[in-house]
Amino acid sequence: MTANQFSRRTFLGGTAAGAGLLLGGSTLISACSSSDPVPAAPLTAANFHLSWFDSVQFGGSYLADANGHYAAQGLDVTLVPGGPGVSPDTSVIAGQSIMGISAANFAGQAWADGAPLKVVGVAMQRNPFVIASLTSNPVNEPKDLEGRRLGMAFNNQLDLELLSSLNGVDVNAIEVIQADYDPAPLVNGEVDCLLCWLVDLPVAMTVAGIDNTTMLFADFGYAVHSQTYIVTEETLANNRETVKSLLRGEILGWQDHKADPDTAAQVTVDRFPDAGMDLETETIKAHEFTKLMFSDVTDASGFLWWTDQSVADNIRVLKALGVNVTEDFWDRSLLAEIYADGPVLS
Amino acid sequence: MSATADTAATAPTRPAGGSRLDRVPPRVLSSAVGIGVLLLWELLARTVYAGSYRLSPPTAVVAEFFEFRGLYLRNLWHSTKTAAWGFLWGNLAAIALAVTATLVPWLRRSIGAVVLTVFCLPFIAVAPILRLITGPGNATPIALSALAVVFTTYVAALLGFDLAPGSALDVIRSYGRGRLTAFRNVRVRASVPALFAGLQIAAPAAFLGAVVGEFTGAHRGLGILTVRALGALQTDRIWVIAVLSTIVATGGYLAIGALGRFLCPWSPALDVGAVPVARTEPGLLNRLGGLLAPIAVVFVFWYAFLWGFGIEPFFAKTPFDVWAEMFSVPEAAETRSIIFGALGTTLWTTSLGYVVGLVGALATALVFILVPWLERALMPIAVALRSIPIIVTTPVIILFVGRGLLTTTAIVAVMSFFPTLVNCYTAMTRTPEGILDVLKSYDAASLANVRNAYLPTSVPALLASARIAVPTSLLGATVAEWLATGDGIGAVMVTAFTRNDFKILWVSVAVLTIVAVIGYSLVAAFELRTLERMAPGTAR
Repeated sequence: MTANQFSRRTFLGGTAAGAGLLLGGSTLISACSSSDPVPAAPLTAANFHLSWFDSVQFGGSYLADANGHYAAQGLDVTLVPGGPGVSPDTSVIAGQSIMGISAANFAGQAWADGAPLKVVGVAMQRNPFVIASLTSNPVNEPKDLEGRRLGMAFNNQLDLELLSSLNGVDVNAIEVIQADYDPAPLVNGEVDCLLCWLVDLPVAMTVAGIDNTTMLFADFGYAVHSQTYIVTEETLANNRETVKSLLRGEILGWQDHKADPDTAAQVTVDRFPDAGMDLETETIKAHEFTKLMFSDVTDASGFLWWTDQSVADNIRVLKALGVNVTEDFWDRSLLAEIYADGPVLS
Repeated sequence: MSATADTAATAPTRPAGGSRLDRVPPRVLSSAVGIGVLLLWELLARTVYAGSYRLSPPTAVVAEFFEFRGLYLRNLWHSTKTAAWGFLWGNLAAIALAVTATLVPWLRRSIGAVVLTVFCLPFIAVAPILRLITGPGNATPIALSALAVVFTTYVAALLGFDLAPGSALDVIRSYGRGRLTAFRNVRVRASVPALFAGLQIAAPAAFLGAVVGEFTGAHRGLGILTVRALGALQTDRIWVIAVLSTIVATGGYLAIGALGRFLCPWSPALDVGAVPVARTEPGLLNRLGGLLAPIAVVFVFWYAFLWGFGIEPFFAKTPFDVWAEMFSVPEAAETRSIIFGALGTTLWTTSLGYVVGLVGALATALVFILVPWLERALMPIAVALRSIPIIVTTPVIILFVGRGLLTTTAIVAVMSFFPTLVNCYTAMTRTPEGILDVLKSYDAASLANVRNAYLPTSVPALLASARIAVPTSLLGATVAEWLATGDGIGAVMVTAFTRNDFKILWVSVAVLTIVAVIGYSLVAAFELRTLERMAPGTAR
């Protein structure tokens, strides 16, 4: 935990009434959070802020916890859930989490605005954005979007404009309709296609027996690092070893995930009985995530690795998105030290 | 003395009707209507909406609940527990503030300004900022749910303390005892009916706060389950959650009402939405002070908030930062055009819904007065519907009007319709018998009753409802823009937040809050003038 966080805690502890209430609330929760039996050696507590609600998207992290990889690194990791009303970037900048999961465009915007963030790992080798459509009326390439009704979250307007400009598509010829987290508008024929994640709404449709087609943004020039691991420069300076231990635990967990996605799905479903997950759906997702997160690059250099070429592509694409970042936004030195002996940890 | 106290003393009167349906017990009528609605719902879901992933038939909803009852009950329990904590803290704070404002009258205006400002803050932008302060855990949902109840309970408690009979206060004073004794012996007891009316409104508000709070990250809760179900095409699950939320919110509303009547059986329940606004002291200096002091206090709280929680400069924007962002930095013109463009959309859709909701509510209240059996059949349903959280209403409204500007209008209309209907109808039933007798003796028809008796008696309730509906309408509009339409200032705030653009976020919050406070104050001023003209001296 960073020094920053301690000063915050101390301050809150010394304040009466309102702050006391807030602190009381959070203490209450940390007491109920699931954790392993206390081992002999004292573990360093670390908050790791995920980018969405509990999901098999973080299967490797759950495996790292369940299989004791974090503890073996001397860490007691709390996996903090995200959601539509919270940004892991802010949690990291505020020192509440030592590391967070973000995407290069979101964290990059904060970096461009002066937030001292660094990317220290890239989990998704390919950006998971897709255009999903019904197989009976498919969108196979960006040009097919013209004249079609597209359901998407208003937040993704820039991403759509970028995909369009990269592929010579007239963005004004696409009729955009607000739709969020929900495949029903596509299934009901209110829209012709959806902008979503590969491993999300399309899987739900497949499980429901609805034939669907997906067009991956990454296949059409949209190179934006996703599920990127971010920390602050201050953390890198003062707590470098803790970050490395956390990354090592993550890598070991994701190696387990790659070896056996079915178990990752089972562990996720069992870990969150209140989420109402369906094992069949989560198993499909676990396999799909494995495909997004491992590639020739990770085979050659290890999980979370990225190439200089991909940084150049990101800088170019992000600039087109209005986000101005430089190479300084990425820091591969921790991974280089971790993988000094080869691309697989043991 | 206030108008409400006088009307409260009058026993509610029901106009005599001639229909045979009037002799059917209300319970039978409501049940019949309820069963009719369920049958229609089942029929629509099985025919028009069959296989559409939109409307689940009631039978499927019940089956889904029983199949996964453990899952539902655990999540329901979690959200309810969060809401209960927020309800407790928020109401304790509100009551403490009302006590302070009563005992130290010169603080009243400043406290009122801060509480009103908090009420006008846009929920969806406050949630992430709260999360920033509290860190992981359940503190943010609890705090949001507490913030959601403070204003209405504060207004209710203050009214309750003010409603203490003047004669009793005079007795205390004549014995040479001070304010504190008067407070302990008279005001506390007098406040019970009004306070419980406020707590009734607070129950569903706390629930909404808890569910929105879950969107900032939690392991369980009905809000999260809803988002998951939407993404997974689990339509039955969405409807189970909607029904459960409705039952809990309505149950809370009714239970608190019952507790209030049990504690204070001698007085009919008051409605906080129908509380007249306080009168301003005369004199230019007083008025100026009355305007500036609250603004100063709000600014002090703003700085205290940023400093007290040690918020990093990257997130923390002071009033000067906001001013600079809007008027002096190079991008100021662009910022203004984004914010005001979006605000224009929001205000247009919101005011349309606001007016439709208020006029519709008044018209419906009149229909209920003129056709009593209809009132007896539908009013219990209206009372229940007014406590349904907007998160639950939104998907249902999308089902019927789709996703567009009209969605926001519809959601705002629904949000302002139900409370206004209940308030106006209640006020109309308190029309003094004397007036009705006079009209009857002149052989005047029902329509004359409407013009001369029912409409005038409902004016205070209508105006008070219209005032409270200003911030709640804007709250509804921004939530609708977030969840359904992607337009307006709600969308600007969410986009700003996800892109870590805290400058735009703070400017939006400041502008929207100012708009809500101004709207509220304008309606309050209009209300005061109207009440003074209709019956001088009745406004407090």
